[in-house]
Amino acid sequence: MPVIRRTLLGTALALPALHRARAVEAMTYLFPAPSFLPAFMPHQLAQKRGYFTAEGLAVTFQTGRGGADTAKQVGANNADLGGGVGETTMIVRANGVPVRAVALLGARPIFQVAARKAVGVKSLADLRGRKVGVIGYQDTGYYALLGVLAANGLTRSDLQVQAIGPAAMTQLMISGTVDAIMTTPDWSDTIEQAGTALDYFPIDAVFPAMAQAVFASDETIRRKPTMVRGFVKALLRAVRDCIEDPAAGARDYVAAVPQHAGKEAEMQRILTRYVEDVYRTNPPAALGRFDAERLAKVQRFYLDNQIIQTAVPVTDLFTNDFVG
Amino acid sequence: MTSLAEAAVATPRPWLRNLALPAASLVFAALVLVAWEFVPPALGVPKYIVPRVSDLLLEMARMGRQENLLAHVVSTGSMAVLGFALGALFGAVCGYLLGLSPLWERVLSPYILALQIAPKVAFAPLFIMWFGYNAWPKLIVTVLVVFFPILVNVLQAMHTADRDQVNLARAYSMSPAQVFWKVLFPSSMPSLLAGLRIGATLAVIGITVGELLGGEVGLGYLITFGEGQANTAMVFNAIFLLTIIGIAMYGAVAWVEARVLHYIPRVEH
Repeated sequence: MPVIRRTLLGTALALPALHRARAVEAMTYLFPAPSFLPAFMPHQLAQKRGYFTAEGLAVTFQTGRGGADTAKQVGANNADLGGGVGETTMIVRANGVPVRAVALLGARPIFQVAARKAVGVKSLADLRGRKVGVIGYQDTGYYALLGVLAANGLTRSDLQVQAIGPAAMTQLMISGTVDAIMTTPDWSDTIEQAGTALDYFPIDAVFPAMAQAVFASDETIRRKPTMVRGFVKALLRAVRDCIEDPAAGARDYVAAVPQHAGKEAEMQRILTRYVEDVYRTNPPAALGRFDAERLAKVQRFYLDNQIIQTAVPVTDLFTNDFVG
Repeated sequence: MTSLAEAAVATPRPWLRNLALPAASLVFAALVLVAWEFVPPALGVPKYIVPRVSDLLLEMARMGRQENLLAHVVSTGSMAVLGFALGALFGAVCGYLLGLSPLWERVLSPYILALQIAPKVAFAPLFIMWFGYNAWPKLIVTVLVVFFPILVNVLQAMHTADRDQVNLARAYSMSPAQVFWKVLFPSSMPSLLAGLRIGATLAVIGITVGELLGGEVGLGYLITFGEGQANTAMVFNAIFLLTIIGIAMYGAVAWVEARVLHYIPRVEH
């Protein structure tokens, strides 16, 4: 009898754990660039620290070909969720792709224009005739650059915009092959550490460009809201960790991503840059949330400068339902 | 009288017979376009998967206005023609030289075979690394893909040249150069021109691969750009224009072939 009682008691105690184990949902997240880039530290950190698992998710990371491509693949349900920047959805949604942004990872744009100091670019208009690198023509950084150029009276035929891929962004700047790039904080750090001085031109001085965002298709939002909510919650938790303790974040990130082994100090420096330049919001509770007015401004800017041809209702571009 | 009238009715007039085929082709094309316009929306297929014909036309007009379409077409067309010309020249010259020198052919044939088997388009990223983001990578890819079919065709023609004619020429004390220009070269023309026809279509593939991987001009770039923003109509239009360029190049080679090989009887279909 005691044996049977103990067995029943043990089963009863194990039931919640068994239920959780059964409830783990496999999902795919599509990065716009290689997953080991420091731009995706919060994602890797959430994975490493078990935040996704705690939300009942088994996340597999895959790599797409730029933010716009990622949004398109997510919209076509080829991945559960994906990443790009906040304004990406307006580029593909205008062509009928049913995708919207569900979380925004920071207050300021992830991209800015960085020119080699030696080139002597004093304003964005000085980019005329220069070689400017972007990850790819399917990436949101390219569209942001087109917007910046248009605002300065330039078209893409006035300079050489080259799709050089993520690896070459730093290499070709250091070697002097390109004059400027649409940079992220980690690329800027790598280039400067290699001894190449840079001049920066923030693009939010031109239009209210945005930080990284998480995308989901309308269908995924309708059919798997728990999954989307769990992912957003875990990711934003990791972003808050980064803001609060960049040193610990960098340490765990390096432990999770073997490509950066032994680079704790460098990653901490880069993460601190991300925190100060991109992630931090005011107030902190605004982290993750979209501002419809800001999106409307960006869409109007893109439309006026013929970066996109049609506007869609701003409410179709995002939802804050999964944040907080 | 009756039999003559019946014969006239039974045998269509030549002009009618000449028009029937193009008319049937046009009717077929019209049916396909009508189906393309109405069937995908009826089946609920979104336009970023299959755009309608009207979407393609509207997008083509927009590309003309806003995307500097003419410059992209001219860039792709001119680079395809240049790549084709260089590939054809190198292929033909190497084919003739190897055909004239059996020793060198035996020495080089394993490497030629290996290069022919290797997927030439896979070299494109290497060319971009070596030569940078300019016109050279796509030009070299095009030259490579055009080079081999022409080389192989010319080499084959040199092997199968009529030995009796060669021996006859030698019996008339012709120099090796005379034997080549009077016998071998003319006899290789059908194979050379067949190779050129294949090369003309491959040139468009080569240039497109080069433009897809790097560079900011050309129809390959428009495919990448359109594909990135789910603008499938732009992708379709760029593919359509690439096809037109390919057909134009093939047609030009076929026109040259018809004039150069006018002495060869052909079967009329």
